[in-house]
Amino acid sequence: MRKASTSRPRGTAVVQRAPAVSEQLVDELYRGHALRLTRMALLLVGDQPSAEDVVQDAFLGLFRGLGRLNDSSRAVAYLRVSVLNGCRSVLRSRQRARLRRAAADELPVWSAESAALAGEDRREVLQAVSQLPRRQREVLVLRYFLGLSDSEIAVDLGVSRGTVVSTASRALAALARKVGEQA
Amino acid sequence: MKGREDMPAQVEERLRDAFRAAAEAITARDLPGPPTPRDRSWVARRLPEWTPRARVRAVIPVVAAACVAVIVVAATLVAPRVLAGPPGRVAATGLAGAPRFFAGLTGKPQDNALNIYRSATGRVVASVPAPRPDREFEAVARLGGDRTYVAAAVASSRACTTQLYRFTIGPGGRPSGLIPLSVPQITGVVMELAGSADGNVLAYKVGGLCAPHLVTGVIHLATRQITTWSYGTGGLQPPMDGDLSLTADGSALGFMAGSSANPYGLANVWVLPTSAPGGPLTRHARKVLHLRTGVFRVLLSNTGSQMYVETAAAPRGGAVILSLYSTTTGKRIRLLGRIGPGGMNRAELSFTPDAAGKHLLIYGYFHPGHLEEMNLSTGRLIPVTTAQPPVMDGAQPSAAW
Repeated sequence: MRKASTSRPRGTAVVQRAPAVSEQLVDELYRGHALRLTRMALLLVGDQPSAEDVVQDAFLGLFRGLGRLNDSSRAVAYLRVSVLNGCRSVLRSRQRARLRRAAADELPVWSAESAALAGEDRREVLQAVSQLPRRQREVLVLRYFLGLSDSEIAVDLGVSRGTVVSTASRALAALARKVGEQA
Repeated sequence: MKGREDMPAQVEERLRDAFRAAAEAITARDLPGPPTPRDRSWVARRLPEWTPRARVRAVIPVVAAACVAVIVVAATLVAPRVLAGPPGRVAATGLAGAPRFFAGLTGKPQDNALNIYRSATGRVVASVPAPRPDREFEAVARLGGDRTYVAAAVASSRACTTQLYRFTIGPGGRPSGLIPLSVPQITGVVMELAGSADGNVLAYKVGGLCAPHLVTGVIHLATRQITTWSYGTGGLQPPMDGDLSLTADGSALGFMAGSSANPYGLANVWVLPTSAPGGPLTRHARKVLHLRTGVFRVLLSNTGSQMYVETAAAPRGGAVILSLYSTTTGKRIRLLGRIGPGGMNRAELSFTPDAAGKHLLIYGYFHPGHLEEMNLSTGRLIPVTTAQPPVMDGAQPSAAW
């Protein structure tokens, strides 16, 4: 059985549906979850400014979506999915930009600062992860960074639990090959 | 198909470790503060107040107009770029060592706020509200190297006075509140503001309908001493001056001056000791440069021995280029790079340096999406791709890095 690298934040019951106090609730959610979500976004987009922007946009989206959330405990899941979608938008923008540029001008997946902090061995792993297909990367980050269960990942990604298991399995096998391990 | 139990624990552990180490590059201290509804655009703020049907009806023409705009933009911007091939610049997420945030005025009266932008993405991360709803911001400048800034805001429209305020930008982009500077109010509308890197000297230019003529002033903050100089007294084609910059210790003021009749911009660049007595602006100043191309913008280096000069590439136009000149000889030391396409609209660009004088943030009113960072040592230019570009105020410099 896998172990989550970090404990999953709880306490999402603070969310109410009263729009008049939504700013305060968003503020509380931000203080409780922004760092973790920003780190998740960093792992997906590879640079801090984009990660912070994605998370800020997700919380701004919460102002609009809060009144429509019929289950207050879903606010964090709503934010997580918003961040995932925001990261996809960033990556799509980069892909478009990449098409307009020569191969030598390709955008870095990881900023120099992030890579330097990670160290050689970790950089190798991160580089290998960055070369995986988007969905595989998302599954790995949700499972091994956020510590979500496969069922939770399935809900977030809008796929079946079986798809999550098989995607993770393929991702780990590919990763093992890339970093020289035997799957 | 393998189950997750079959996967080697070692790979999973390396993955967790790499994710954790990479993620910890971001700390709670780095994060900007929580967003507020004010951070949303006016469109986003108003849409929820409408009924869904009204929203749809209202959005249809907007969407149609947006489609047309997208087609036009694609035809005029994207297609030529694709046809011309790669621009030879590397897109990235900001220059290493450059400030993470800058302050800028939007120039939209309904906002009446001073925005804090993330340098790497051009996104607004926070706003500084005006001291009072009727007190619009006029200008902003960096003061010193510790993320302290000065903003000028109308103190009294009737008396035509301006109050200066100090504020700081925190590590996460959150601004402090405005604190009035303990200096006398300035008469007139502040059109430009510049601060020294040591944080001791401020330079400003005032004009506007309530000022008899353009006045340039310097404030020594330690002594609260203010010295003013004027240049020209009006006429059909009055002499113009501006583009103020200070050396790091505030001992010298750089500016452009010349006739507004020159279609290629002001041609002369001057340096004035800030200890000079008040009076005519050029009486104690030294002319350090005269260019036939005209000068769009000029920035004195921190030492004052060099200056960064934005010009057209040729006397009758061409691309907008940035060069390094000597203030001693008036000769060009080297070309730093091409920063704009130029053209009939005199599409000059504004720029603002960081406190260390090592990087330049380049922005443009005529190209609102045009935001670039330049390393002044190497000339390396990084375009910032932004979906929410800062829209600056006319031709006046209105951002501080």
